[in-house]
Amino acid sequence: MSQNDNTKPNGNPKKPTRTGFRLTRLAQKELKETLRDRRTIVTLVLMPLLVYPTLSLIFKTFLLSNAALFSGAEVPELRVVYSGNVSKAEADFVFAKIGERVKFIDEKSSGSEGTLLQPDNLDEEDDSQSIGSGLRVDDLQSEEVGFPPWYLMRWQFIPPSANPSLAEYVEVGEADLGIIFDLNDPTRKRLGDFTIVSRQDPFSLAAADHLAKELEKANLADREFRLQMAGISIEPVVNVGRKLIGETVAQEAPSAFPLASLVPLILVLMTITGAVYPAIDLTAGERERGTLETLMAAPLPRVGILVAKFIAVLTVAIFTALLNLIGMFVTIWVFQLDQQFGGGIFDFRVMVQIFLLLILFGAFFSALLLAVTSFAKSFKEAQVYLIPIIILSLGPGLMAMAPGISLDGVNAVVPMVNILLLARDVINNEVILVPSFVAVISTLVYTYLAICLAARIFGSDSILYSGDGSLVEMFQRPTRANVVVPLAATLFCLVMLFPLNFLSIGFLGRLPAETTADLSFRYGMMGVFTCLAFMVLPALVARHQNTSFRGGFGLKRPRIVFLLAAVLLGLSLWPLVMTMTEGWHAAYGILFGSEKQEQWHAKLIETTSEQVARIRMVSPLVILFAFSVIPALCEEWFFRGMLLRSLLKWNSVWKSILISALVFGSFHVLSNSVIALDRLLPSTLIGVMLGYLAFKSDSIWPGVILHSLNNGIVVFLAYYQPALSSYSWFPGEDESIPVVWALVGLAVATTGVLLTRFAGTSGLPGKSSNATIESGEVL
Amino acid sequence: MISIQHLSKTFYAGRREIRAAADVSFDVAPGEVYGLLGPNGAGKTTMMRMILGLLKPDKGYAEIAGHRSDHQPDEVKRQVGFVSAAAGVYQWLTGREMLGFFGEIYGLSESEVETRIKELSAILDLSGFIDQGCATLSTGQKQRLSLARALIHDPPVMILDEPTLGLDVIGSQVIFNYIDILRERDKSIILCTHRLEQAQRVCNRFGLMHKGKKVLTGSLEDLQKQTGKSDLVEMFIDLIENDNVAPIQQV
Repeated sequence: MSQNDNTKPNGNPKKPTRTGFRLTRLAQKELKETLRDRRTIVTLVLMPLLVYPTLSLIFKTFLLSNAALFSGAEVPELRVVYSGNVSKAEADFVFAKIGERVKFIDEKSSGSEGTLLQPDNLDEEDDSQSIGSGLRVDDLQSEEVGFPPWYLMRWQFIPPSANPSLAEYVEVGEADLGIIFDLNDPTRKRLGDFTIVSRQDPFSLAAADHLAKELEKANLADREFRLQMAGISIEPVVNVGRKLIGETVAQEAPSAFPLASLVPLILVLMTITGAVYPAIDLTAGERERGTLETLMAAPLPRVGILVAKFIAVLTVAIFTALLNLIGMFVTIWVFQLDQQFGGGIFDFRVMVQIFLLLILFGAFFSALLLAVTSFAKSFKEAQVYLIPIIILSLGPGLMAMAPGISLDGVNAVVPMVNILLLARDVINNEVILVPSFVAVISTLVYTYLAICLAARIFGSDSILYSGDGSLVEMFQRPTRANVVVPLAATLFCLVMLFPLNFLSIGFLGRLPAETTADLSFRYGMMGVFTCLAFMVLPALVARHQNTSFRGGFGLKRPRIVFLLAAVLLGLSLWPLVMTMTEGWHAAYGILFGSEKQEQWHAKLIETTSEQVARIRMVSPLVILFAFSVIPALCEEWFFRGMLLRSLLKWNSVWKSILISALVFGSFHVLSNSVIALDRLLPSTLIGVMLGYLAFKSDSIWPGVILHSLNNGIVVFLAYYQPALSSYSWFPGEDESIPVVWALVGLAVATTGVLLTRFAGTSGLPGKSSNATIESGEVL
Repeated sequence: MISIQHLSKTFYAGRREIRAAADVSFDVAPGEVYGLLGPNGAGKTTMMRMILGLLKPDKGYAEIAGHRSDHQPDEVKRQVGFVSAAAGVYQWLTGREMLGFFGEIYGLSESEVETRIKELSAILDLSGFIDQGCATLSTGQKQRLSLARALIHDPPVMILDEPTLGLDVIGSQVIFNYIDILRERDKSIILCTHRLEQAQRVCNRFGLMHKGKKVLTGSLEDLQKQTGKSDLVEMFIDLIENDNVAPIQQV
C-alpha cells in the first residue's frame, strides 16, 4: 500500500477481457459456496439414494396389483371420440352394453380352443373358427394390427355443439376415430345408427375397419342372445380349434404408457428440488446475510452477477439431474423394472437424450427460480414464493401424464409440458421432428426471457431497499399520478389475460344449445369478452394506478398525416400478409416434403372454409363489429396503449415495439387450438407496424384505424368471396393471389411507412406525455 | 476526491413519503475523514448508497475521482472500498478465499492478492483466523475481515457505514486506529458512526444529518461555534430535541 497508489485509479486497462474472467471467478465462487453447504448435498445426494428405492417399491406393488390390466399382447392405443343425439350418460350406458356383447363374443372365441376338430397342421392365416351364426370369427379379428377390443378403447365424449368438433378431433389426430350415433329410443329393439369417422391415413382406416368389426360382434352377440331366448340351439356344426407349433414366444411387455410418462416427471421434479435451494441461497439468502450489497458494490455488471448465479444454480441442477438419472437407472436395474418399461429405457442414446432434456429444463427452471427469488428479501420470503410455483409446476406435470396427450399444437409451447412429453416420446422412441424442435426452441426462448426478467429484478434498488413488502402496500393506490401505467401493473394485466381467455372459452362452451345455434349471439358474447379482457381490465388497473386514460393509453388526437398513413397501411397490408402466408406454405413444403405440405394446406383450407361458412350465416353488421371494430379497438387499447407505453417508459423504442409486437403475435398464435405458426410472423410484423405508428403518432387511434381496416378487409373478402370470385374480382378458394396485388400492396404500404417515418414526432398537442415516451428512448 | 452535489432521494411506501436525502452537498479531499453523523433514520445509509451508485438519486449526483456514480458506476466502484454494518461474509468460504475472490473481482493478479493479504492481515491482525471458515468467526473477526475485504484493492476512497457496529471497545479501537492510518495515507474517507467520541477524535470535518437534511457542517470548532456546545454528544441531543432546526445554507 504505497502513497502514490492513491491518485492512480485501480482500473485495469485490459478491462473488457478481464470482465469475462471475473465473472467466471464469480460463478466458481458461487458454486464452491453452494457445494460446501451441506443442505445442497442433502438434496443432491441423499434424495436420489432414498427416493428411488422407495418409489420402486411403490411401483412394484402398483404393477403387481395392476398386472391383470396390463396382461396380454401389446396393442396400440385407440382413442375414439363419440358424439350423438343423447347425453353422455345415456351414450355411455349404450356403449357399455355393446362392450358386454363384444366381450361375450371375444371370450367365447378364445375359450373354444380345440374342442371338436383338431387338425394336425393348421396354417395360422387360414385358421378359422366358426360360430353359430355362420359368420367367421376371423373376419371379426384384426390380428395384424392388434387393436384393442371395444371395451378397452379410450373413449371421449364430445358434445355435438362442441368446438372443436368431433371431426376436427379426428382430423388433427387428437383422436384416431370418431363415432357419431343416432340412438333411437333405447327401449326399442334396435339401438341406433352408428357412423364411423376416420381420416385418410392407414392407421385410422384400419382402426375404422376394426371398429366396424367390433360393432358387428355386438350384432352377432345380439343375434345369439335372441336365438337363445327363442330356444333355438346354437351349437355349431363344426368347431375348429387352433394349435400353435414351435416355441412359445415370451409375452410382450405390457403397455409402457404410465411409466414412460412418469420417469420424466420424477426426474424433472427432482431437478427442480436440486435447483431450489441454491437459487434461494444465492439471491434472497445472500441478501439476508448482507453479502449481496458487498457484491453489488464491486465493479461488476449486475447482469453479470446474475448470470454467474444462474450458472451456479444450473450446475447444481445438472448435477442433481445426473445423480437422479443414475439413481433411477440403478434402481430400475436392481428391481428389474425395465421389463415394465418396454425395453428401450436402457438404451444409452435414450439416456443421453433425456439428460440433455433435463439440462434444458434445468436451465429454464433455474432462470425462473432466480427471477422469483431475486424478488424476495429473505430466505423465508423466497420459500413462500416458491411453494406455489412448485405446486403449480405439478399441474403441467400431471397434464403431461394424461393419456392421449401428444406433443403437438399448443402443448409444444407450454413450458414443462413440452419437455415432459418430449422426454416421454424419447423413451417410447416416438419422437416427431417438428414439434420436438418447437418444444426445444420455445423452452430456450422462455429461459432467455426468464433470465432477462431475473436480471431486471435482481439487485434493482427498488428490490434491494424496498419497503416492508406488505400486501396493503402492494395494492395501495399510489398518491402520485403516473403518466403511464407502471410496468408491473401492465404485466399483471397480461398475466390475467390468460385465465380470462380460458374463462371465456369455458363460458362460450357452456352456453345452452339453443343460444349457440344463433351465431350472432355467440359472436356478440365473444365481443363482450374481448372488451372485458382487453379494455375493461386494463382500464380498471390504470384507474387504480392513478394513471389518466389519455396518457396511459394514448388517447389523444393524432395528426392527420398519421391517420392517412394508417388508412394506406390498413388498405394495403392484407395482400402482403397473404403472400407471406403462401411463402410460409412453400417453405413448409421445402422443409417437410410436398406431400406433407399438401395435407397441411388441405387441412388449413378445410378449417378455414368451415369457419368462413359459419361466418357467412351471420349478418355483415355483426361480423363488422365482432371481427373488425371490437378487436381492433380493444387490442390497440391494450397492446399499443397500455403495454407499449409502459414498455417505452423503461426500454428503448425498438425493444419496446418488438416486445409488444411479439406478445401481440404470440397472442394470435395461442388463440388458435393448433399452433398457427403461419400467423406468428405476419401478426408480429403487423404488431411492429402498429407499434411504430403508435409511437410516432403518440396515439392509438391511427392503429385502431389500421387494425380495423385490415381485419375488416380480410374477413369481408372471405365473407363475400363466392360473389367476388364469380365476378373474377378475387381468386377462388384454392388459388393464390396475383403477384401484382402484392406489389401494389407493397407500394401503398411503403408509402404509408414513409409517411409515418417522415411525419416527425414534434409539434404534437399534449407534448407532456410525448416527452415521457421520448425519454424512454434515452433510458 | 469526493464531490457530492445536491443529492436528493424520496422513498414512497404506499401512501407514505419518506425524504431520505434533501439536497445534500459536500466535498471530501484526500487525507480527510468526513464524519457523516446523525440519529437513526437520518438518511446516512441512503447517502452512502447513492454515492456508490447502488441507489439512483432523484436529483443531484456524486462524483468520485472524476467519475459520476450514475454514469460510470463501475469506475466509481473500482475507486471505493465499502464497508457497511450489514456487510456479511461468505460463511462457506475461508477468510483467505473470500479476500482472494474479491481481489480478483477488483482485477488484482494472484500475486498481488497474496501480497495484499499478507499486508492486511498484519495490520488488522487476521492471521489467527484467516484460514478458518467464515461461519465460525466472531463478530469482531468478521468485521475486521470485512474491512480487509474493502481494502483489498487499495482504493483511494473509503466509505464506512457503521464499521464498528456490534464490536466491543477493543474491536472498535482497532478499526478507528486503522482509519487514522488510512488518513495518513491520503485516503478520502466518509465515515458513518454512532461512536461519537471516537468520531470526534478521528474526523476532520463533520456533516450532521437529521430527517434527510444536512443541518450542521464544518470542523469541530465550527460546530462548537455554531451550537455553543462543546462536544458532539450534546449537539446530537440538542439536534433531536429541537426537531425544527432549519437546514443550514450551503456555501
